[in-house]
Amino acid sequence: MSSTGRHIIATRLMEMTGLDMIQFGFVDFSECFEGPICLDSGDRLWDFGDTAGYLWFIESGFGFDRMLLEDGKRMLNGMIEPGIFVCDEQQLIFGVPSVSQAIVNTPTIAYRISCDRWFEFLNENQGMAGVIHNINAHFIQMRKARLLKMKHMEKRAYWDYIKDRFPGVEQFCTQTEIAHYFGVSKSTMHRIMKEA
Amino acid sequence: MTQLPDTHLAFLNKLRQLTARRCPDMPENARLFNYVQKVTIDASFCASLTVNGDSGIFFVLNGMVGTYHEFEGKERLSHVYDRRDIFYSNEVLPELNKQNTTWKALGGSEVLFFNLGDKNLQAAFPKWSREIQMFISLYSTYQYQGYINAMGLDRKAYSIQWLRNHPNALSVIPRSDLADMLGISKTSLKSFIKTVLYE
Repeated sequence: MSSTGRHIIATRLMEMTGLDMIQFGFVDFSECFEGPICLDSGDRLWDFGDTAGYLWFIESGFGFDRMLLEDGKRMLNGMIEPGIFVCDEQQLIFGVPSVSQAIVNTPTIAYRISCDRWFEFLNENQGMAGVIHNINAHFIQMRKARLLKMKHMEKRAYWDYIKDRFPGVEQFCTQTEIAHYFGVSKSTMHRIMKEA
Repeated sequence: MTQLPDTHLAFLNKLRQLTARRCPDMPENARLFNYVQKVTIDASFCASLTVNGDSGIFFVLNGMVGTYHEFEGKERLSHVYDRRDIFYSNEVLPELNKQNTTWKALGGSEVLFFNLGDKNLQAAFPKWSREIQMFISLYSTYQYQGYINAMGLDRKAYSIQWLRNHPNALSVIPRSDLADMLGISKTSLKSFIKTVLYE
């Protein structure tokens, strides 16, 4: 791990939490990451069914991740962007093959840590485990907001919001993937996009 | 030897199964069951929960627990926990609860609570109590991914299957809340209920 990469990850954690990077183990945590890993447009961070799971930190670059739903459809899930940590959550939590896919759409620089190593590190570091617990307490509030917007926000207003939040979404994701994210049929999604 | 209540055993065994991969050193059931208690999840109980204090894992023994949020001035049912489901206090922590999320006991529900903030538990099992708290906070955000994914499924097929899987829901959840939760109209709900009841 280069000293630059270590600094970028530890600094980002400090920005997210407002906590001291040495006292709370951010520098030691950053040491556990591999990288920098350079990816080209179209490369996958992970794919459906991957058995080796990683938590990724994105230094630069953009992309999208998609969920494989239980009926076999693919649904847009979220955007990959600089400064975020991304992974297949099912793989992270249960250590089972991934049920999502993440593709970058621009040249990207990223770092990664295996899910098993991540858990090992947190189990050995009380301070960092407490930080992750607190981050999760905030994160669930964001998930709640997202669920409520998906369910109840007026669809055209939500499409405007998504376009602002995920620039380029209509270029890189199919209309069907976006329609599933909106919980509407492909033809309804087509109409919403056309009218917007 | 003390006989452990079946209800507590069902809870602890489910927790053990859920956390087997990431928290493999869970203490024996007999050493944990004193930390499990039956609670009433009313507003005053939820107000006592905090990120770094009393917080913990819940298990539905009977009935259902509905999770309601405020959105655009209306109270909305987003999901329910049914018998033998596990859920976590992060959903309703007053200090972070921007959506005014509340739990409502539906159909005379009974709930068990495992208080991870208990100082005696933390002293007796310091490593495991840290691991389980982190795991369950991850799990609770992951549960929301499931509700998000459900929105991407065909509404008719999903709704019919949901009604089949939760046969008691119709007697404890108001129809308008149920339609709202499933993302369908009340007319569609009526038709899907007929399908399930008369198939």
